[in-house]
Amino acid sequence: MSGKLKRIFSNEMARLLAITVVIFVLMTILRPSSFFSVSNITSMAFQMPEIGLLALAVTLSFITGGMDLSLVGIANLSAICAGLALSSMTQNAGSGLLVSLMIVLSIVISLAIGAVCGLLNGFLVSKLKVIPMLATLGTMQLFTGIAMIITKGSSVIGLPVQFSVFGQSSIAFIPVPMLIMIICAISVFYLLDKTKLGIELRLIGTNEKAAVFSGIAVNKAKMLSYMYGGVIAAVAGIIMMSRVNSAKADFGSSYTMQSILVAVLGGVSPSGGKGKVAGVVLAVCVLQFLSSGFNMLRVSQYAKELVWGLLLILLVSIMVLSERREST
Amino acid sequence: MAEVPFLEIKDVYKNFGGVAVLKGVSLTLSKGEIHCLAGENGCGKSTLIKIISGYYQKDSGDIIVEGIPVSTMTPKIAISRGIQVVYQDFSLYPSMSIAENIVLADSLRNKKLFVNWSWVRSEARKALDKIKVDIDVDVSAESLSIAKKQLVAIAKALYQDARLVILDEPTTSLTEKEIDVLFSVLKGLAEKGVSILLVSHKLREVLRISQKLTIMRNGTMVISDDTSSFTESSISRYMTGRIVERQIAGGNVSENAAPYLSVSHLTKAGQFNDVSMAFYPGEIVGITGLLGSGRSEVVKAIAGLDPFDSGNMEIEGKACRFRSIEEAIKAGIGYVTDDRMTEGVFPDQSVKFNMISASLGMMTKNFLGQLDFCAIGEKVASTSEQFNIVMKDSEAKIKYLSGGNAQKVMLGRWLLANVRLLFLNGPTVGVDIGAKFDIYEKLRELNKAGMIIVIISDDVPELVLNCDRVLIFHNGSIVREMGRNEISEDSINTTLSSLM
Amino acid sequence: MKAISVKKILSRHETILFIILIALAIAGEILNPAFLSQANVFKTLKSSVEMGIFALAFLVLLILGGIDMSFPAIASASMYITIKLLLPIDGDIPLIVPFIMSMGLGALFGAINGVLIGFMGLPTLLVTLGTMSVIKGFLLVFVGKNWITQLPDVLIRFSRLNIFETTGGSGEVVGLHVSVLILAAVAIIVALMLRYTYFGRRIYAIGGNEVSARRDGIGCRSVKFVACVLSGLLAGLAGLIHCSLVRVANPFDILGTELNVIAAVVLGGASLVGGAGTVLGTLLGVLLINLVNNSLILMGIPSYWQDFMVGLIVILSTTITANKTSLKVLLKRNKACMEVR
Repeated sequence: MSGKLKRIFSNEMARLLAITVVIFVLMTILRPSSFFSVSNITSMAFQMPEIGLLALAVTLSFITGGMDLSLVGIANLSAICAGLALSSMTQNAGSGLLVSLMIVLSIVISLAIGAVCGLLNGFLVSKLKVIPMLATLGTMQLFTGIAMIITKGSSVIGLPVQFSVFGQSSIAFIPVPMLIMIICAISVFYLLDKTKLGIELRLIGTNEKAAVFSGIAVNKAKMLSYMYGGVIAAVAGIIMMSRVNSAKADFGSSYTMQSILVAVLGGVSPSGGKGKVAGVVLAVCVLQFLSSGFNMLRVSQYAKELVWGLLLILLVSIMVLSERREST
Repeated sequence: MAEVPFLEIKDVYKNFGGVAVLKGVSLTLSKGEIHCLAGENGCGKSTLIKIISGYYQKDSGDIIVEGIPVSTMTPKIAISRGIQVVYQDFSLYPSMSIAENIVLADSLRNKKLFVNWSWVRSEARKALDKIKVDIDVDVSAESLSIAKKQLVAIAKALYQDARLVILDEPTTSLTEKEIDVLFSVLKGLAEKGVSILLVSHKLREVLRISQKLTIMRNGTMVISDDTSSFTESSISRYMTGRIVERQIAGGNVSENAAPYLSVSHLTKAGQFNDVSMAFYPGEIVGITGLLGSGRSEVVKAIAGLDPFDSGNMEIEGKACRFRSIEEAIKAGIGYVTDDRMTEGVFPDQSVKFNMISASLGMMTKNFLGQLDFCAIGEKVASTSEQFNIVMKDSEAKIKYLSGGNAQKVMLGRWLLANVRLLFLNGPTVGVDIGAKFDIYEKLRELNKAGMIIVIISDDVPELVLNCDRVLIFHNGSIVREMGRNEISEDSINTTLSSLM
Repeated sequence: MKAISVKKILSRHETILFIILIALAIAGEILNPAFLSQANVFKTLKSSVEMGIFALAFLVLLILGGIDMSFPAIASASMYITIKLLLPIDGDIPLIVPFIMSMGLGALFGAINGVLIGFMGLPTLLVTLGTMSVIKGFLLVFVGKNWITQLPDVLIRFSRLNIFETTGGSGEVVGLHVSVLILAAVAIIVALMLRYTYFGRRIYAIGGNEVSARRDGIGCRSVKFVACVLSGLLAGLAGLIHCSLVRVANPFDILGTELNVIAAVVLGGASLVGGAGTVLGTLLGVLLINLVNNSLILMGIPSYWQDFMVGLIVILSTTITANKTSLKVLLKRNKACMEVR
């Protein structure tokens, strides 16, 4: 019996799944009517995607052995640009169709900016060979700085009411942001597990030199991964802006550390090569369950940070100790 | 009057997880003696060294240092008795100065608290003077060449009152001149009464420097005697247990065929000069020469790693030039590195991914780059079978495979990449004997199936066993080309010795 | 005879930084004659103290080979708990008391890191991400999250304590704050420790080549533990100075400053993979960033350009030192792989 249990615990995914289930069950037991309710589950589904998307974007950089710290900056900058464009274009309201067109245009702008920012990161990391953590530290300041300069520190407002669909409405009971997150999660999963580029990224993260010797176009692959990370960050930015109907240059500054925490909790190693999207999704769920659950228990919202930290330390300990046992 | 030997090993046994790695090994080392411990990879010499230095514990047997038996040898005890190991990575601290590198370990052992830098520097200079080596003690360790780093490591060992210095494969990556310097340093040490134990499988060097030679094979000591009683071929025979007979290799080279790849007047400043070679379909070619002769550099330049300055290259008559490994692979040229662990293998990834890493582009199903995992699985499975790769399944992480099996995965990688010409740099380095001959067989199979094989190697028996032609490099150019009938261990060894 | 050659000094990272610093100062002075006024210099120095001490705390663990993310949380928690504990005490407290308390608490929090990183051998970056959350959560849940505006008198007096004073441009009194002395003292102590004690050399050794360090019997576990305690102690010190200078104990405002400190330390020439870095370089990095920020303000450039400029500086400086370090990272990681087999 204990052998089977041991095998379950030796599998990272299984561990994470177990934790997720345990926490969900725990919260349900503690607050049955409020936690396990349609309104709560819906509300959680509204809150998860922002961190979830950022965590997915960070995962992409982790896979190649780097750490992208600039994602929140990209999210804000791209959202601000889109928001400014949108609010000025729709100033003279006009027909609903025109507004929808403007919205689509502004989204394109936002994704484009996300891609360009991501490309800059990719360029610094691959062509100039700057250490990713440092390069993105710099670009984070850069992007935030540009956003600050554009907005002079104030919020972008005046978005058409239709824009709130991304952050605030649902389709068939599923919140739109959640749908978006699911689509992005599937795309990242597809990329990392099923495509040539994804496998290349994993190999690069495991041993970059060997990847070069295998004829893999390392620079191109890295640039594409950072670019895609930037795009996903831009998507996160759109959802953030849609939820609060405004955009600001310094919004969500705590999201950077949180998304890294989620990725690491989800089993993605910052040293590269390892990580599954499923783990990241589970980790986001864990964090959200704790957050909502603690809310209901009237526990201070900061308690969730305490628990996250403990979980992280626990998981890292298990990971390191089991690796050590494997190699002896 | 018999002097007490510095070290006596008697009947040492060691088991690892049920596998007997050392089966009753004995060894005697006198003071001031230069003793070589030779054997193929996997014969147990590394394990023996680790037991002598206390890193592993012997299962049974005796270790006697200067007449006093040591029942349990630990690294601390070993060091206190004067046993120091210079490892292959030299154990230096890269950003620290040479001076500190030499003196630090000893100072710490003496429980010093505060650093007196002028004392550190003068002590380091004294240590270097002792081995008659002149290196600026203030430069950082990482700025030194490999040869100099090794000398610093020896000075460091000596500084800690070493009475036995064990060197693990010290001549890897050293040029002839550097080997000369190293050997004169070692001779100097021996004259002062320090015993030297050299672990090596490089026959020529073994004969040059050592006074006594112990050869191991498969965990047992085969023979231990004065070096003067051996010849290169007898050493080789003791090490491999076989008489290396010339087998007719390749055999399917058609006369008057056009070369597949030909290069002319390849030059790169400081590395090679005006090199012209041609490789014909169906042949297995050997390339050798002393380190620093440019032989690996030329091949790397051809394979796209490090472009040459001037010269021409033609594949099947068409001019070409590779600016990256990618381009070379696309044109059908592959390169298997000698440094498998750092440059070849993806340790934490599965055998499957390791094998498919150079041919991902061929396995895609659609424009999004989706991989056809069924096809990949089939190819990996059939290649693994073909190469007799021993593993749990293709999802197993490659880091758990033995050296030989890992190398076979590398071969599989290039087979799947559909290369027409494969350069292999040191194909059986770090591979045990059984797997070695296995790999030779596989290479010959690949060759029969149409791949041109080019082996760069220092292992003369390896060249003799496999090659149709051997090119010998020296000082950046080809000095000798041997045809099938001229190749033999003697002829190659004689030529190489004459170049030293 | 000491072999110090001019060429060697010129090629050192610290020298280049120093030259850039001087160049910036001169440029600033040309653009705005008030730039190098005593008042402005004092202001810049004062604003560098907190970052400087944080940077030193970070540097110690960085040389060891680990990236510590928890120091802001440790600083915040140490200072807040100290203030909260001292709040009910009426009357005068010796100045040394809050300092010792905050440093002591910082050392305790550092010890937590020390156990995980030193004795259990867990990777620094991941562990400190965890302890950062744990300490922050612990602080905000169990200690308190409200601003404490009533600081003990002794700290208010401390915040006004200048070594000497002068009159600023608009007639206000500007002084060289005593905390600058504290930074100087800490810097000297840490520098001496790193350079002239074997404990410090052990830190460099472990960061440079941990495998060799183990072989040489360096005692990695205890060194790492003590280094974590030391780092935590410094963080506690910085936290207390911070809250004194802003005259309020706000548990939130220190959090989130990790990235600027990391930028300063790396700017100063420390290697992200460990084994290298100096106190001088770190201080120069801190000064440089603060100087840039201050000069922007003086030049009348709105504060929202600050992030942009800092970002630009970080990118430029890391690009220059890039190739050397990325090779080291690759080699280190591959060495780790080889250890398994």
